[in-house]
Amino acid sequence: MSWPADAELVEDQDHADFRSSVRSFLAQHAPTRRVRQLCDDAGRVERSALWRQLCTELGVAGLCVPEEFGGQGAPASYQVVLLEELGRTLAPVPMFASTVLATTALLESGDAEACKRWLPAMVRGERVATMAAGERPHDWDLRSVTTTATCLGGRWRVTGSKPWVVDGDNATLALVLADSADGSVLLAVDLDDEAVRREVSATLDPTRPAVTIHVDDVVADLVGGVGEGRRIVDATMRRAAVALAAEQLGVATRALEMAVEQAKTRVQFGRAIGSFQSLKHLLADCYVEVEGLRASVRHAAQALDDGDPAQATLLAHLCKAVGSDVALDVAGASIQVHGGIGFTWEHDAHLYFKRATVSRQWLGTPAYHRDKVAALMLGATA
Amino acid sequence: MTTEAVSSEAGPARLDEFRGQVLEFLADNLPDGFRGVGALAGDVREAFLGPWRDALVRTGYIAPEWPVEYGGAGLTQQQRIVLDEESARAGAPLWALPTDPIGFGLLGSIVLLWGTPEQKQHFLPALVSGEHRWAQGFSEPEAGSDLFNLRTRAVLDGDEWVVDGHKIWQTQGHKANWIFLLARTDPAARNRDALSFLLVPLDQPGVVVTPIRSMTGEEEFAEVRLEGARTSAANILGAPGQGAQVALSLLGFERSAFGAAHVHYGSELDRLVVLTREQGLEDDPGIRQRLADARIKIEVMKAMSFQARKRAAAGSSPGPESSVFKLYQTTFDLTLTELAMDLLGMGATITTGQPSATVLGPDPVGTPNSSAAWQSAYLRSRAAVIYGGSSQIQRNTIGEQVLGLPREPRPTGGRA
Ligand SMILES: Cc1cc2nc3c(=O)[nH]c(=O)nc-3n(C[C@H](O)[C@H](O)[C@H](O)COP(=O)(O)OP(=O)(O)OC[C@H]3O[C@@H](n4cnc5c(N)ncnc54)[C@H](O)[C@@H]3O)c2cc1C
Repeated sequence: MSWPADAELVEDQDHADFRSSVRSFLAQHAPTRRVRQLCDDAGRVERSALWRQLCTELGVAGLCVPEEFGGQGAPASYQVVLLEELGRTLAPVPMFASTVLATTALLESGDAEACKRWLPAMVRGERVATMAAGERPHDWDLRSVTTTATCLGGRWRVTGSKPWVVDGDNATLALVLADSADGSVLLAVDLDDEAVRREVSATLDPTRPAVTIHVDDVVADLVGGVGEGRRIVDATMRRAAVALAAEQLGVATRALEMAVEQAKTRVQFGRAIGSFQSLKHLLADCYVEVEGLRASVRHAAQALDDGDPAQATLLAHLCKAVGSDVALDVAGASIQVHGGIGFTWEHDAHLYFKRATVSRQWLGTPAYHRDKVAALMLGATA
Repeated sequence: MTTEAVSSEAGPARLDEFRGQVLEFLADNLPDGFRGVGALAGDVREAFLGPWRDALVRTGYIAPEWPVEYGGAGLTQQQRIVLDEESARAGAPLWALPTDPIGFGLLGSIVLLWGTPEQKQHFLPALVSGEHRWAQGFSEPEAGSDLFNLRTRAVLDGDEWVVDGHKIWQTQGHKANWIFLLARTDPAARNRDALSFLLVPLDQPGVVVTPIRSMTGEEEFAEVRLEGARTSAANILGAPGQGAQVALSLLGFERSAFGAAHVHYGSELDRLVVLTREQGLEDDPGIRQRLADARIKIEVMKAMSFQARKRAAAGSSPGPESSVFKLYQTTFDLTLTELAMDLLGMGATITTGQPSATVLGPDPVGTPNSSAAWQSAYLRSRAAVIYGGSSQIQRNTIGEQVLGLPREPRPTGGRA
């Protein structure tokens, strides 16, 4: 279909080229039929293979990693393009866990030694990492972290439980936020250590696995300074919020495309249903929302690249609030436009709806992010 | 928190230099201690606007992108945005006569696009000088949304068009002395091909202009009856029968005229933040959510207008995507002014303090935080979702022209 290409805001040639190579790779290797298979338990090994291929052929994991750590040092705007494309196909790869969260945290820590040690293998897709910070359903300010760390004779040990760790089933490394006597710390935990237990939960969104990780007095390596844990995680969250909004943009764009296609072809009362205004206007409103999100995500990526922290903070909250609302609204509308078929397991509409539902909660709901914006305007409430 | 400048795309030092020039111009020509045109009381405002317009004319800033030979400043798109933003931030209007928005925003753009060299030479400078003050004559009592279904007729009599018809809802029409209109010039042709775009002086026998009071209580539009009104055969834009095409390109300009909207809305929101504190509502979770939502939407508009400028810089003219912005902006306007009413609470029910300075669009910098000002902004927001193509028409446009959905069945055959 033509509208995204035509109506899409102009992007420069390099971004457009990158977008089209990612899109054709995913169309070939991760069409939604395959995505469904990969999400089965049996698909786990294949999922790792797909990720390694994405990393080696398109360099996705090292896109924004400086060259000294094995990456390409590209600006954030490329990562945004990539996540949008991944959102369109729902490909179950650990891009978010390993690259957006863990890689960003390592880079934000400023700990060159840790970066040198972990990043090159992550960039090649040989090692999958994740981040485990929050512990309570609404605590994105990380006020109530109960995981504890102690340092004895220069060795760190960590104990605690972290729920819903994204891609925690395939990862072999987790960056774990813990509190120590000397302040918060971020610790690199080897998930294959026998004192780590992974509890796989059933998830609403099968395309994005998450597990609970229990860590019992495990030896771990400090990443960044003592007392730096929360700062690193906060900075990571800001970038992750923009990345997630980009993915939400992809989810919304694809859900809308499917709905528009259906509205053009499905005939009732002797007319294509898209000629009825109630549907036409619903879809037009969706389009307006999607275009607003698209502009915002690009704007935010630009702010990240410009290194303007105040603007980037505002835009990160903005993007996550808008992205969550738009993705869910549009994915819901898409089911509606499809009618009965849209409610079936066989149709893809629900996959987008579920991804939208889960990523709306993840990293904070729209209300949470709007309150952050309000705090920038009015100050925080007591 | 205030809305800050375009930094990212402006880049080059030359733009910063231009920004410096604009700031200097504003400092030199605005009165000492100027707090925005909204802060001036009625008669003081009138006294300010005359000399201010002269300053805009002297510099060409009144028509920033036009070539200098027609009275413009020959600015690039990027420079124009800087001028828009800095003027909006200072609360200095770029248009001073009540008819200027129609003249420059619509008629001027369309003459530049479709006009012959003679037409440009004749009409553009007269618009700059204020000699020609324009009204937009599209709507008729029976043809609003169904714009091209109009009845006004024009026939060629020697070297003059003779026009008969009834136009309605002309913004500031009672202050205008020229009107651009669509008229049916070929009774035999199909609906759209029958129309021509004519420029007609209002100041002549056979034309009656009657002001109409709007729901804000002000006379802000008018109706225009034309009986045997005459205009030179040369005063046609495009060829006979091309009127619909000319009008459509004009509507693109009308809907995409949003240059510094985010700055204006930013200043309205700043006032609402002050009002929130005055009312002791800064910890109210519902109000916090709505204020943040407004802030977010203003940023979204800013982001959208950046993208639109990139498109324009890449050479595409405003297309159906201008409907996207119009819909977004006017819907936002409803929610922002509703929020103001809720912040005022019972205070919203009575009219106190100074009114606002604008007739259409968001309030300029300096407008007081009075219930009088917010009431008119609130009432005005109900107009923007109707004029320039109602929200429903915008949705039809997006659905059909952007998303490619099938058109609604239309009755076969137009009016003869
Ligand atoms: C403040 C103000 C200033 C204006 N200034 C000017 C001016 O300067 N010059 C000028 O020419 N005109 C002007 N207008 C007129 C304006 O363009 C028309 O009012 C507008 O196009 C709507 O037309 P209408 O009033 O005939 O309403 P109608 O066309 O009768 O519409 C009534 C309702 O029906 C809906 N509707 C109509 N058709 C459809 C459809 N196909 N699908 C779904 N819903 C539909 C509309 O959305 C609206 O809600 C102005 C109007 C206002 C309010």
